[in-house]
Amino acid sequence: MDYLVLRLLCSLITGVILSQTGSFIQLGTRNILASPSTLGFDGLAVLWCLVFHSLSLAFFPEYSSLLLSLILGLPCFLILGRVFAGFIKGQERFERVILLGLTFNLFVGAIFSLWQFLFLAFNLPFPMELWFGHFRFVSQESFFYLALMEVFILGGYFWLKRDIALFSLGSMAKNWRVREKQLFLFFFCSVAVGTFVVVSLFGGFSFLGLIFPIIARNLWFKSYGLKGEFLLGSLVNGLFLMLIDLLCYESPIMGAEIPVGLIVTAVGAVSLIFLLWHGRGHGIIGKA
Amino acid sequence: MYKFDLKIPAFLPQNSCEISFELAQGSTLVVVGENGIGKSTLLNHFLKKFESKSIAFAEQKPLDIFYDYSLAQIRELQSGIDTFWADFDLSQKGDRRISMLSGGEAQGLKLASALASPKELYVMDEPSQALDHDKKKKLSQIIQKLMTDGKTFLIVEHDINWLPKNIPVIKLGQADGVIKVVDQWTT
Repeated sequence: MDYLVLRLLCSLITGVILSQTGSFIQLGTRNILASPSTLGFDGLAVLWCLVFHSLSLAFFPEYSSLLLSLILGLPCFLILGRVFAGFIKGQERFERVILLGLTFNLFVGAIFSLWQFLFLAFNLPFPMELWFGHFRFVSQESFFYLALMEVFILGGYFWLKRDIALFSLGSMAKNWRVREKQLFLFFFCSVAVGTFVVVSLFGGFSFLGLIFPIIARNLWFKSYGLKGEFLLGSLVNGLFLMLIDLLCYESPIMGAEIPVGLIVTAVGAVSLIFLLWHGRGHGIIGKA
Repeated sequence: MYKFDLKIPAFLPQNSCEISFELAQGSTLVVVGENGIGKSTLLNHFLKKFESKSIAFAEQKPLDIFYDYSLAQIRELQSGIDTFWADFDLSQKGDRRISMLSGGEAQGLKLASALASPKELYVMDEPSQALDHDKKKKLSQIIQKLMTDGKTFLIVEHDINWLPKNIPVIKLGQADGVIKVVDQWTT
């Protein structure tokens, strides 16, 4: 497949996955400040990749570190999602969990800087792209993993569609039969594994998992509810990420390409401030 | 028959409790008492004890719906959820979004949805709050109808004037630092 087509497809699916996993985490916790980055999933995935990159460099440099990292990481992050689903259900002091997640992210940031310093000191290749994601090194292999992840998310969504929709009704839904256990498992396994796959393949896009669902819920297809946010909204968000990646690809600065993760993080941060500032009076931030 | 017997030392931060009552199939029991005496806490203990039973709960908290659905969209999510919507004047307001509902309409939606669920026991925490006179009357009629169908109700209330006749009422109060049933009568 042509490099640019592959790259654009990967950025599109990445945007869709980030938007959908962000929706799951916000709906599951019923908190619009929840996201893979604010709850520490991003940081943990970066830490895993960093440790794995270092270990594979030291002990088995002849193997593809990405493949090994994914094979070993997928079951671990699946278990993490399962454990988190049990932990978060019925959690009343949610602000504490967010504070812990943010603190963990700061901790990973500090480790990242220290690790980078040591790698530079010993003249070793350091995976800079882990912090700000980009799609420069896409391959058919990465497209395959990403597409598989999206199939998993869509499959689970259609399997539990009625339960997800009912769950969004809040306490009212408790009187009707909702498969809450399966729902939480699916939500948080998708979030943990989805974040891990994206970070492993392309690095971190920290703000997108937070801002994309809010944009999808409140700006695109607002009146369509869950379907609007999860299917149509996530697709538009994916197209948005793809467009920014195309701009980064077409407009290098002094021959160097700006990481798309850097741009979208900046855009995401500004959008979030705008939405919080502008939306309060108009109910744009939602009801959670 | 739901036999409830609660004796715990830390019911409220500074009070123990000794409360017991029985709730027969197809009957209603109303719990009254002054603010902060632990009526909602009692309901929580009750729900915990009978969590394996088929119970619908209309809690006191406001609606916490994640998306700003219209009533028509909610109707599509669960068949039968709109069985009692007409009694609360919601049937003709399909295009109305949750964020646009008045306090009384939101309360009506919460109650109507709980009452329509196929359960055996309905637990309600201050169901009449924000409802006008007509809606309270409708709610009373629905309760009577469901009771004749063998459904059971446990209701915490302040205003008991709207309730059907001959419903047993227990009053929670404090005696010697213990929360207990201090009075009982029928409506």
